[in-house]
Amino acid sequence: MTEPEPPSVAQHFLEFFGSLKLAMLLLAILIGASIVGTIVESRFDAAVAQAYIYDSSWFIAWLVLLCMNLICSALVRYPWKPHLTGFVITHAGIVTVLIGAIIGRIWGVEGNVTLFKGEEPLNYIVTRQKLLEIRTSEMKESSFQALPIEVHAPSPEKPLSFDVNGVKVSVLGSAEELGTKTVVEEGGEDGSPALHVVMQSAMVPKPIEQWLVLGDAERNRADLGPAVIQLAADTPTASPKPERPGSLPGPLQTARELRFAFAKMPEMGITRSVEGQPTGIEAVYRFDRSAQTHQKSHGMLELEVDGKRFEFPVAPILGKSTPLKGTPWTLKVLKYFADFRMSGKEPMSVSEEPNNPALMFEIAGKTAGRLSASLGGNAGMLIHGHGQQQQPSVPGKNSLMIFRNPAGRLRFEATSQRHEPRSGNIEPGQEFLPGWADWKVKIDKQVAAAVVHEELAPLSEGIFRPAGMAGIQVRVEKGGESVTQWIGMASPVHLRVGGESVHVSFGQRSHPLSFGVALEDFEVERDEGTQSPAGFKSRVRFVDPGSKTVVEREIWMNHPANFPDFPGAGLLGTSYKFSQASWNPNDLNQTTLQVLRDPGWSLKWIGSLMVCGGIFTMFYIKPYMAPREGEKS
Amino acid sequence: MSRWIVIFFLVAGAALLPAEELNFEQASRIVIQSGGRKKPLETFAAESIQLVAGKRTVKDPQTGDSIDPMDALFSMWLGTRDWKNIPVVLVSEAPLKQKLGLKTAERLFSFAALMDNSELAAMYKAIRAKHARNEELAPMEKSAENVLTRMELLSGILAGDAIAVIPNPESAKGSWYPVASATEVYGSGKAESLLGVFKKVADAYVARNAQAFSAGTAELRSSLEQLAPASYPETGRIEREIRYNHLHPFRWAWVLYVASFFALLLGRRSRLGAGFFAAGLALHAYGIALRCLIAGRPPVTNMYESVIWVAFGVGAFALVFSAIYRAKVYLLAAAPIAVLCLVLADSLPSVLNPNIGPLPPVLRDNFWLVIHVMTITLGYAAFFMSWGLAHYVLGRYLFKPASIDENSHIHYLLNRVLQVGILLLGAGTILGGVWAYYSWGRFWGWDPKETWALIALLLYIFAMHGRLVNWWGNFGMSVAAAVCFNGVLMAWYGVNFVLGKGLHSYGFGGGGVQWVGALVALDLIFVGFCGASRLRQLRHNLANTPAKATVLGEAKS
Repeated sequence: MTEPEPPSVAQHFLEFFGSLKLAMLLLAILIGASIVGTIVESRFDAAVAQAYIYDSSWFIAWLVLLCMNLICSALVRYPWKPHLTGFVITHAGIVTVLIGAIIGRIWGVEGNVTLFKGEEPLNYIVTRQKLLEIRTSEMKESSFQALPIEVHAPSPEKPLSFDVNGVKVSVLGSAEELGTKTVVEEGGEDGSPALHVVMQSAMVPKPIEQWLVLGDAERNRADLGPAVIQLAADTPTASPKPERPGSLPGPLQTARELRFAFAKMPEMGITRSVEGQPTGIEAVYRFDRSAQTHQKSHGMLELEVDGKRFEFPVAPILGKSTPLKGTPWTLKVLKYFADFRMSGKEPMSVSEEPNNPALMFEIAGKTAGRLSASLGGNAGMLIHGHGQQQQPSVPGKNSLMIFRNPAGRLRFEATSQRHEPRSGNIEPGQEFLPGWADWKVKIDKQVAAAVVHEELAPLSEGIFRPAGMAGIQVRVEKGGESVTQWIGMASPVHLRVGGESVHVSFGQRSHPLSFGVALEDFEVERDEGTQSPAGFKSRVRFVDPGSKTVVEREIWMNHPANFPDFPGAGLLGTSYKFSQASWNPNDLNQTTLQVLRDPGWSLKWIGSLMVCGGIFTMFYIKPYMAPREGEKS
Repeated sequence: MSRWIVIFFLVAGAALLPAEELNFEQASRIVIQSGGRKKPLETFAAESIQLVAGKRTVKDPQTGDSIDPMDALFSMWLGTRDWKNIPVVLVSEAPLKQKLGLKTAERLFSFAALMDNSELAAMYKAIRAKHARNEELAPMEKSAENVLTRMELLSGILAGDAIAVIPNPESAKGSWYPVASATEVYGSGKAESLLGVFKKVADAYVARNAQAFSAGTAELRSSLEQLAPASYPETGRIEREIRYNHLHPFRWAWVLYVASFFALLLGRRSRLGAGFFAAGLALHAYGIALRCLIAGRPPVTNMYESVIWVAFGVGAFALVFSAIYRAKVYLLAAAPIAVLCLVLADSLPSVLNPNIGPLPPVLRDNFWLVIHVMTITLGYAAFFMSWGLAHYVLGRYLFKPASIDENSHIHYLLNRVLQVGILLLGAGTILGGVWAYYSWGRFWGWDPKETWALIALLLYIFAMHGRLVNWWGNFGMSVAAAVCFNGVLMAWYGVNFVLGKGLHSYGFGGGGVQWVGALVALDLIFVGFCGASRLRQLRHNLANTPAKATVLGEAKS
């Protein structure tokens, strides 16, 4: 046999890149890498698998190589004979899908948007990428650094560091949820006295600690596990006296108090006087989860007022003022929490399941105050100046009052659910027994003039108030000085270091929209007889200032809405597509939508159709186009 | 010998005589609302006993007799036994039992004993805390949570609260109530007569008065329906479900498949075998249709349903292919697979949960879901079928090497099935992308389930291209058909039960990993052995072929 012409370089190139053996190698590695990827995902998580395998540059290079192989293998066989139809369509289809994927990667946008009912239209979406923003005073524009904390969890040993304009910023750690911790330091002349209470029992693994600041409405009182404790000024007249029935009636006074009652923890009820005297009303909230009636009525609230008993199913009286007949009081149940939890300072329900039912209610009325009590109470209020009730006693709960006289001497009065009240003097640093089981209390630190500030720290590291946000720990260094601090998401801080004020902020990259989107309504449908959701539906309003259009669209599971919308928008993928993504069981005025704009979408589905059609042609139509099976192409 | 038999029957007869068996036929038809739908009481009883005890029946501690679900449910409802102290709550995982200080040899424990267990109480708190923080549970905590769910259901039944048989007076989709709430919901007038009937039933049950019980339950059912005829489901729907419960279509289907297999294997008249097969398939299809009608959705949304559906796919492909190519070998290969699937589905209710429940929101109301899942699982079925056929081919190479070679027609038959598999799995995977685009917002995201479907597809494509390069031939394709199926198994079972990560979480479960792993390993050993013996045989043939031997000799010299 004689070769008419030696094959050109181009032909060699084509034959090498289009060879089946190369295809086999590419396929084998692709299979292997994908298997490793799924194992990595199950060991770690999706973000790690994406970063190291599926989104890594070598994997993408590999796919590009596969693309070339597919193209070359088809070109080598040109001109195509009829029996190659299926082969060509299939390969072209795969190439089309891959090109669509590349277009989507480069020009596509993926993110989400959380909308609240009644708020102004939002004109940006948030992507998944975390960013660190750094700006020194000399810089006109911030420097933005990508912060892949899902992939490389930073630690003090392996920080993520950035040098910006002579300032070194290192991320030392990250936390899913931050809490607020109170830090008390000795400070200037005008500070109030503060003391640090430590409570210890064999029942808890580590002591409960708390700073109390005298005269600070928020920090002079704390509801800790075993008891409510409060710090008050000790003045000779202000010592609280037990209320005596039959004391002289005083003038009519308005009293109003806000209460929380918990079905699971009857002893944990919280009472806060908003106005006037404590009402002394006993309240018990019952919720028997196994009882269908309780499920329906959100349980029963029982009140006892001066020997009169009242019992209400909660649901019918929710939000209504209900007079307690025969007493001066009116009850108003403000809120029902199925699964109560404090989020920051806000009480909320974490689910719809009645796992920890709680009620917030108000008791108000005009009553003849009891003279002796009102004197004591008023004196207390004068001292605090915040209208807070001095006696921290909550029906059915232990309480501890710590009194500090101007000379700094301390004494306590403790009440207990089961035992006699106790009182005595407190020696700093010495334990004393308030009379609740084996609990011991000690004042281990005292500050005469406190400067109080709050710091963020990971919630997992102590008993802090949840701050309801994720955060990172940053260290900013300049000229041998450094500051280390936790910062929360979307809460920028200015840190002073080396004579420089550095603006540091942690957040997610956002993407601007040329139009606005607002939530009109959100609905949840439930499975019959249960609380489990059957479907969600958001009604949103799109507002385009450019074309001056306002449209309303409904979005529900598997039914996204496109904007700008036109016939075929769903097929092109060049519009923004809003899909129902998630919801907040505690706030039904809120919805989260996933937003995608994928200009490669049309190529993806066209390529997909080609692949399916091509395979079908190869297997089922080819026999009619080629003389015999087994003839090699 | 015969004397003993007579004595046995006398004793057995005597034991049966005094108490006439209660008939639960009418009681079964009382409608209950549970798990997000309305169902016959019978279904609830079977599901509850299965969930609580992990078995179909519970044992009477005094007599040792097993009690049927309906009987047990009534006994719990009416409190005829001290159920809190009878060991009926399943704790199956050994590590959990050790942690709770329970006897590892036992499987069932009493409600009271578990209630008093301080370790379990501590775990309950830890689980609640983790749920509140949206954290993932440790495996042991997952087992503990299952135990707590069982206890919750049992206590709900014992208190009567879980048995919501009083229809909602207002709307067809509203909540139903337990008997104790009848007065509250319907007022004392209506409730009194209902409670009177209920009392009759209870008395008849306690006295085990069969006649009064049947009459009472029938009356109870009709008076419940009369309370709110609008919210009560149609009789036809309930009857359909009762029929489904009693027919056991999938059990009879596998019996027919077994009959077909032996008829095909032993008999020369393959028509009989094909007839059995077709009858089995028809019953199988009828069962699936009933299930669809009861659930009001396609039957491919949990592992149980997908196993049943894949078995159906295997059977359907086998019947179609055997008709087209006039080859009974398809039926022969498919029958054992269908039997295997259906027997597993029938006998492992704790792993493959047969209950009919509502769907998670993301799976509802979707055209693409139905198309995608049906297509992809039919792809699984085609590959499962080819796996069976490949084993038949490999078996022939191993045991009857003379009857088969590279050019045998059977290879063509196998290839045709592989092609269907590639087309369906390819289309199904792509359709999955289309569905994901609409419901999750993106076309492809390397989620483990979609990745494994792609891997399985690529494995078969790799095998097919390997034959094009002549790296292997038809025998190699048979080996590939047997080996590549492991990719399908991973996409189908492994992602849900082994990896347990990703967005397809509504199908996740646990159990059977070691068994499946052992079977896969054994199968790979068998395939490896077939491959090795084929190589040995080829070398042997080569050595015995004089012409080739000379060529080799020349090459050596």
